[in-house]
Amino acid sequence: MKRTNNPWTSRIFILAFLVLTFFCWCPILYASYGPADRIWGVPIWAVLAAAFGTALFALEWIYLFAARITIGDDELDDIVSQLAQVNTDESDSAGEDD
Amino acid sequence: MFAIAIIAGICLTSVAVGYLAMRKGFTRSADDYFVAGSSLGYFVLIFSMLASFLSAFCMFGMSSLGYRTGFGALFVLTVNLIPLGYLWYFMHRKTLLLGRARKWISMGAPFGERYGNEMRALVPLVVLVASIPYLAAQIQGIGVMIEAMSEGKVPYKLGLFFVPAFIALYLMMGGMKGAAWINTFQGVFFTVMVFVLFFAVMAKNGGFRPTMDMVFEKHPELFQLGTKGGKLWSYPMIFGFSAAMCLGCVCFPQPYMHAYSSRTVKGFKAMTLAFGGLCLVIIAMPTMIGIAATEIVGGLSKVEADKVYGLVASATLPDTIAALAVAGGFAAAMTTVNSVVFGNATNVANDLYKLLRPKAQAKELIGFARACVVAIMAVCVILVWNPTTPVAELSVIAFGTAAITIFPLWGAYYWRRATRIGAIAATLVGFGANAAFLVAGIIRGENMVLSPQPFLLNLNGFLASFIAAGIVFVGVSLMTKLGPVEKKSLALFFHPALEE
Repeated sequence: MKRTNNPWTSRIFILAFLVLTFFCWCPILYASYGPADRIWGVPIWAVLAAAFGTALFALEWIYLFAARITIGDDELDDIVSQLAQVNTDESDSAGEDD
Repeated sequence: MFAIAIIAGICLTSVAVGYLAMRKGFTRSADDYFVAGSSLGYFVLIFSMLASFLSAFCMFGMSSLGYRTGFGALFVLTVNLIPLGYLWYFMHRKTLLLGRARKWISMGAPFGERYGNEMRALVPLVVLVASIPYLAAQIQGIGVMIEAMSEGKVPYKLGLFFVPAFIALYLMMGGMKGAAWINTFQGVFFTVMVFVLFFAVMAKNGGFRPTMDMVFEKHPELFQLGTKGGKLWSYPMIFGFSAAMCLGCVCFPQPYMHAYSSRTVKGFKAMTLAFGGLCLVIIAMPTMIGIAATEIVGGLSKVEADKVYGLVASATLPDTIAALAVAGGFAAAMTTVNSVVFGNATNVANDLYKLLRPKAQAKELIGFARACVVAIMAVCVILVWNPTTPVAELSVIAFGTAAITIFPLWGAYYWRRATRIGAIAATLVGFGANAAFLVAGIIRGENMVLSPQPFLLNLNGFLASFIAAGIVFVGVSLMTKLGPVEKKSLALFFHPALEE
């Protein structure tokens, strides 16, 4: 499967990821201190947090599997063999002192 | 008696699986022992990764946190972990690809190749020290649960010896492959049992909504944010917990080990995506079990509240099923202990020991890693001999400390200008600041790592340390020049084949 190389597609995904991550990490924009209304016995802010989390999960699924942006198994061997051809003397520093 | 039989059954089955992995020849070479020969399929990867993080913290700690603090606990280990789907992919895509090409088997390897030997040794050391409270929390949870399940027949301190000994045994025999199989088996088991307990607890009072209505009438504060004068579940506190846990997950040894062990890219991506989604569902259950338990088991506080999961199981299920439900939590703790101990033992052997003895052969490295497994277990048992801090708080401190290594990791993969000095300075500053807040908190009698501090603009100690580490990393890297190691590494870490 050939990958899409439009950088704007990735940027839009990343922007959406960052916004939804903020909602998943802090309810400041959709909650308030003190008593809260409830849905199905659960505070509304908790339901909204779960909804934002679900939306982020769906977006991540599209990004990883459906948008043809990320690497796939058909490329793995080729990428690994290209990386393996990098001159190890030039890059093998893990066992050396600098 | 039945409870003790279940515990013994889980331990013996795990040892048998470890033995089977050894007999099948999955521990012959270093590659086989440490990263399962990069052979794990996506089902094993997903459940092994899930089980390696879902722990005593998830079952006992989260039910305790829900019981003590209410719905705000949902931001500790459920919805806040959904971003891992893309964060793990961004941060560990190159770990997978470069690890496969360069045959990496430890988490110090990328830091060593990118920044040199100091970082190759420093990062595993920081993560090892950060892991200790987390491991201690699991072993503490195991001891508490064994005592509760056996109704005191197996005292807490005996339980501390009993289970870690079994874990050490099967890790030494089975290596990564054995650990992954055991994680998968136990992961499926505890997932099923947490659902069973959730439905039993809710059914006790006529269903989910009636149960929550009853809790709301008596404990409305559990449904609120900013209680206790704005201190409990304030926005800075929620953000601090959420970020510490999520970013800590990126930096613990498990994602490195599972990236190296993954057979396919699809499996790796499925693992990164599924983790957050499964956490959202599975960990919300013990959190809400804890909240509902306020109507069933009252009067527990602090460390005592860690027993609520077992107590509520006894109160709502027949004895045999209750024992199985609690054994699910016990299995969760075991899987985390084995994964974190194994990851750290791998790092110590391949990053620290190998630096001291560069010519060490596979057999010597595996032997040293096995000795590390025992040593790490022993240290944790000593630390929790007299438990004083609840499981949940211990775990968040550990994740927050590990999270500061995210900057050198990001710089290694995505910032050409990152320097060795910048990486070392950021790691030392972040770790040192976390340690300073921890010690100062102990002296002042409050948890400064987790609680927002007015003098830090209401950030908690973790976030302040994290931000400081980031500023130092960028600032020092810009002020220093690339050394020969960093220059050499660019050809590999920024190879065109890695571009997306």
